[in-house]
Amino acid sequence: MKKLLASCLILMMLLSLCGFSSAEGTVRKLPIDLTGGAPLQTKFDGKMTVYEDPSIRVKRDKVSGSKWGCVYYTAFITIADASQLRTLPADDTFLSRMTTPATNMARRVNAVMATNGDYCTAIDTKKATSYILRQGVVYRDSVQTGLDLLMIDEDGDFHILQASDDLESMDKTTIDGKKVINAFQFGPGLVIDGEKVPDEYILDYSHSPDFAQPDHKAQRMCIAQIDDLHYMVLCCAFYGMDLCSLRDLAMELAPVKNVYVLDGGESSQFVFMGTKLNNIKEGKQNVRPVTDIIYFASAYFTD
Amino acid sequence: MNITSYLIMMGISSVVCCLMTFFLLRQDGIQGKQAGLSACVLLVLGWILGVAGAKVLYMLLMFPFISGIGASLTQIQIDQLAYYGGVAGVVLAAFLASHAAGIEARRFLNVFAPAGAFMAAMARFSEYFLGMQGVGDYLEEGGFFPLAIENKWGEHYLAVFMFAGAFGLVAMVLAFVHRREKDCFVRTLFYLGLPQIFCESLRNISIAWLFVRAEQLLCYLFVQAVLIIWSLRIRKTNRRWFLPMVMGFVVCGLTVAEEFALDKSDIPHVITYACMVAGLIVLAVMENWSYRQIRAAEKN
Repeated sequence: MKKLLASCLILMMLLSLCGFSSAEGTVRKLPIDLTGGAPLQTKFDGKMTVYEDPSIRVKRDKVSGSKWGCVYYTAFITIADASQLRTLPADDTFLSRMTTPATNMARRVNAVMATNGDYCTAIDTKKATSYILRQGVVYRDSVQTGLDLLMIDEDGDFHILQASDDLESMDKTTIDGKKVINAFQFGPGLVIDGEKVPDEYILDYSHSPDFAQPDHKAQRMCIAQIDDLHYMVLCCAFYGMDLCSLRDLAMELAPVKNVYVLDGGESSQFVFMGTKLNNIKEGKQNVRPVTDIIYFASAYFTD
Repeated sequence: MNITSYLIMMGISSVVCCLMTFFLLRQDGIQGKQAGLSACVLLVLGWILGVAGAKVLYMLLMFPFISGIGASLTQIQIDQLAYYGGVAGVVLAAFLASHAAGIEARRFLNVFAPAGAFMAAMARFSEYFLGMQGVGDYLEEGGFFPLAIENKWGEHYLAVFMFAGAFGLVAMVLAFVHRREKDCFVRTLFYLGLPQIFCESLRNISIAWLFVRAEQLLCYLFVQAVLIIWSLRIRKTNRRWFLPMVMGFVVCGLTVAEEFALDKSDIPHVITYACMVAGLIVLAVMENWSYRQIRAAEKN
């Protein structure tokens, strides 16, 4: 039943994309570049848990006191078109080491839901040569051996290639005949094509960047694809969890097809309608600036 | 980024720096021909060795990561230069200029110190034209120039390059006042490097190996080396001779803790930076105290 409803919703969104327009506005495919999405229809009031317009639906939640031993945040996102899943750097290019809070970047592009990315310009021995393809442009054409590669194609589908695959020599701009729009190297992949990745692989330090410590409890951030144009963002708060627990939690929350780990620790930033929601404490707190974000934008224009 | 404006400002500053050197040399009793020759050599070699030094240091600091960054020694890219490599290159140029003009190197460098500090300050001010290269943290409350600059999205960022430049001007004044001292040049470098420990921490973009800022570390190493040398020079004449170098190590430990706190704790950044500045002031006091002891001992 749920699948049927989701399919109907997606179908309606696709129909509206094909030129159908409501009285108030139209849904348009977003350009594959560094521009943003359509302006948000409402402002975040602190209590909103759902944002919805004819092109996107985001439902966010915060769960505490669960068996998992840490507070975690979820966002379930359904979009009408793959172009609404986008990325943005802190500066004009993904090669800049400039950093800024994820909220800034989210506001620049009217992101409905945003998370930190993969710290693409990190300078450390296991990240400095990672592959960077964003919004259809290859910024760095080298591969960091050991790390899994997440590719998101023009249909918004996730493809996780493990480090054991021959990433260096393969064509990383297309996959299964489709153009790759965004690619990330952080990981590891926790679920690939619906299959649970074994503990030994996930906990192997060689498959995580230097600072990620897969077997330690830490704040984590991951992005998952549930179905066509249907995604989940999962973030666990301080003290956090190890990567195997994160995988199990993601699988419990939704029938995920692919789950991929993004930068975590203090960099974890779960941003809903321009407001950071994870790890908010009383009073003012310091936010670690980050190099890039992944975000979901509205494509519903009322002009 | 406006590279042309940056280069014009750097060019004018370098000419002014060499003119300053010329007049200071004349004031110090150096013949016009010698002073003129050294200033000209300094101008040419300063550019060549300054750029080369900045590039070489960048390549050295980034050596393990070169393939990912796509940097090459022959390609000059503004974001692939290390400021302190440039400083080292200009110092080497000054040394060679003194040799070319037949002026004793120490005398030349001491006279050059105020002009060099001026150049160091102007190089920082010129970062205004380099987009976000010289800025610090995002300022939620906003700000205004010269304390902050605004980017194209209307966000305000701390103008760290202005602070760094202002500290350079302070070092220039100190160098001018103390230009007759025989260690004026080293002391000027000390007072150029000391506040940069703070400024490097503020910078948004820096050469950082994950959480370690390479140029901040270099500044500290230089400052600590001076404190150790000064300590050793007063060890026979003062019972508290070890204080400067010990304080140097203590402040180093505190700076590491403060860097950790900036990233991991919820202590307001203002408090952490205030502690960092306090530690650096202590080092300045230690350097000044120990150098006065050295001079007193020499007079006796």
